[in-house]
Amino acid sequence: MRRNEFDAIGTHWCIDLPATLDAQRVEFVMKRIRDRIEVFDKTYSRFRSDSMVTVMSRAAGRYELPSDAAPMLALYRKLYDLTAGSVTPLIGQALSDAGYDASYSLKTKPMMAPKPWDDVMRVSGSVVDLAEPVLLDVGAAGKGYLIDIVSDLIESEGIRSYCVDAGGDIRYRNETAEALRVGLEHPMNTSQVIGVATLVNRSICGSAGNRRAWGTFNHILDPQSLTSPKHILTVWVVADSTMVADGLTTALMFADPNALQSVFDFEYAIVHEDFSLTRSEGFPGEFFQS
Amino acid sequence: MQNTVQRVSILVAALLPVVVLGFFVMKPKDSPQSSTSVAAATVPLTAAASAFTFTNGTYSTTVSYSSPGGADSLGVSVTLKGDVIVDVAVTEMANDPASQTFQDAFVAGYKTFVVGKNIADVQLSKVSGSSLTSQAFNDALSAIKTQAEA
Repeated sequence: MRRNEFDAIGTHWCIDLPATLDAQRVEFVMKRIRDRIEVFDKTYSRFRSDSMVTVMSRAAGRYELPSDAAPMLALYRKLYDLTAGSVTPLIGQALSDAGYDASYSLKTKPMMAPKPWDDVMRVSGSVVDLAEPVLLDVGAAGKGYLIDIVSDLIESEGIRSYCVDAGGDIRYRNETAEALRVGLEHPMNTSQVIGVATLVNRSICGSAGNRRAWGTFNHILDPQSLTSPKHILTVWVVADSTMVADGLTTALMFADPNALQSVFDFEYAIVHEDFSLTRSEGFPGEFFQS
Repeated sequence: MQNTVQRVSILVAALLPVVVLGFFVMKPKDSPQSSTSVAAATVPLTAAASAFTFTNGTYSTTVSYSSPGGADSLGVSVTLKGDVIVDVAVTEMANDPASQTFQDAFVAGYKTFVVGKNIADVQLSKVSGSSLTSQAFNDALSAIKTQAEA
């Protein structure tokens, strides 16, 4: 495998392509990937002043997003309904006020709960009507979705075996169905793992509050209580779609796994605050137990 | 401690057949007070299991028992999928501190707890956890830590 590493959208990327590709081809594919990530970032990043979501945070009105917005907004709506509003793209302002803002001030200002979706936003495909200025945040599913977009681009180049890893969220495809051993990081000790997932032609996403954390907050915010959930230390989801896997890691902080499994096809593992483990029967991997 | 372990073992031994067999004769959403498990208690587990096909779902009940501290109860729910128990949840309802201790130990006994191994000792291709953060975020975090210490 040829490993390509770079930083983008606030995390570290590691893209493995087949060693059989010549250097020039790799350079060409990587250029396309970097350009595509830039387009995504310029649309959805609330951390840059020139992005579409920053523009949307300044004025009400009708916004035509790129066509790639439609599947992500549809997933967000499903998760919003399944979690009684706990997973919501309207969380942007509250996250920003908690301190996770464009300049990473990490200083908490007075916070307000996001308004109900139907009060402020109408979505039709990739067209969004805002009744008032809203700071959207696609942090729950956006990275997973971008991993899928990058992977589709790689596949459009005729490449069938690859690994796209964005900060530990991973989509892996292998023509010979060789398994990828993914260590499941200990939520309190980044030099340890508590198990190993065995990934074959699927995606894995994890969510934990240990890195993107300041004060009593981390990057996941309960819109009702305006606090970061502490009852779960870490969650992993394995699914065919990285976007779905990513979105479900946040949804599992708020909703019953069985309710989510009746809608989505996925496997999960949850480490609770006492280090007890709940996992779906089919979660591909092993856990180290006391 | 030895005493505690023994008493918890007895508690577990006493409760489990009642809890498990209780579900064999219950339907989902049956009254939690259902006590029809007594007659079934002499049936070997395997024989009982093979004689039934269960409806997938979560079965809940409350188990009452006597302790030196008086009457106590424990809420138990079991989730069945394809005739296999895929999840068990126990709700502690102890009335006195001693019972609380034993119920804590009981709960600890059935749950699976994870432990860490050093990454260097496990053969891995990748690691997944919380997303790696950018240098800008790490710098911001260091800055507020420095301020807090000043």
